[in-house]
Amino acid sequence: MKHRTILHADMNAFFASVEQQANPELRGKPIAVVGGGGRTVITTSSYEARAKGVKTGMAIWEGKRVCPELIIVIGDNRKYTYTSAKINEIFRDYTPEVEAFSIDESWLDVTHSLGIFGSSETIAYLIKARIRHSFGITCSIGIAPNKLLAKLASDMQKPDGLTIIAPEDVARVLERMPINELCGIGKKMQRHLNMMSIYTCGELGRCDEARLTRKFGIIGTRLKQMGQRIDHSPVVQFGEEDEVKSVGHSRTLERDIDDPLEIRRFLLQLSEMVGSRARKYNVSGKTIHLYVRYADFFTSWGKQTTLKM
Amino acid sequence: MSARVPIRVAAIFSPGGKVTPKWFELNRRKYEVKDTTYFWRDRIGEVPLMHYAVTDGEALYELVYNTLDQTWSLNGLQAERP
Repeated sequence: MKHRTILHADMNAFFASVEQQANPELRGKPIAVVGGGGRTVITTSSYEARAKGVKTGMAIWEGKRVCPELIIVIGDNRKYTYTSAKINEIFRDYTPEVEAFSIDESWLDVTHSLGIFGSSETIAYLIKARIRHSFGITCSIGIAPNKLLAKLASDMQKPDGLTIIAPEDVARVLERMPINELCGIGKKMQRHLNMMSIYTCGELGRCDEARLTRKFGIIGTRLKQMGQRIDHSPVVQFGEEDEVKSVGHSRTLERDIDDPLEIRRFLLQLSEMVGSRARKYNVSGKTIHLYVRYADFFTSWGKQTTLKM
Repeated sequence: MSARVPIRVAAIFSPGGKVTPKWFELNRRKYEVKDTTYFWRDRIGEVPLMHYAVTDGEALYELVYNTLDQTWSLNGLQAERP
């Protein structure tokens, strides 16, 4: 079977890079991008800020404590969405098979473009040069035989990296790699696997599948495949995604509220957003799930109601 | 500063829909656009807007062109002084 060639492109410190490009005064300086409300945390920061210890998720005061010269910039989502769309247009000049994983990450299946451009490396360099020239943004690109490994490869060298995992190198690269480096294995899953004495991708791949499925259900098979470097998932182009199964909207309020009238106003607003999306996808539903997170950010309340149709 | 202030802008409209602001007036003073540092589009309702982050060499301005009523506004201004 012919190997696929998948590129994963990850924009480096995307929001911060866009802001630094838009405002030359910010270039080369530690900046942090935050949301617009009063209760916001650092969404992302420039590499200059990261070098000083600023991390995503920190409160503004925490960021200022580790880096007093930190410049706070209020994010502008429309600017980022536009830039992301333009970057995806660049990707589509090299292959129609582009899947936007998030606003700053995409997969490209370039298997059928190699005859035109010569090699995946050439495509990666062309893409990097065009994004840098058009937007002043650097990106890290990973090239591998599947999506899982391509994402892994792009994470290996940041910023402005290009990492290729050739089919013959896959086993060697993954053997001693910690499992948390794999996309889809979070802290909770890592803890569970560590309790089963599985620490590396090599160990995960050699683990008995029945043991994994007993513990994790159908996810067990997927985990085993991840450890064995198997990922047949295709690059799904825009418009070919799975059918929408649920539509939701959430909002973090700028301050605590307890006035029932005010709460109803926000509920109406959220309902309008959900209704608007449902109409856009041309779907309707019969079960409504309402979820509330309280002021301490830890306690929450949920209620599910099935409507009579 | 962040507000939408109507302003006069001189711009070059090139074939292909490209619009390049060259200078603008603010408080009866003319500012030359030395560099457009970023450009993005968005939309308010049905109105497509073109945003330009421009600099006169000293401060950074965000000019917005409303393509529906063909008006310009100053959306924000950021000046860094020692």
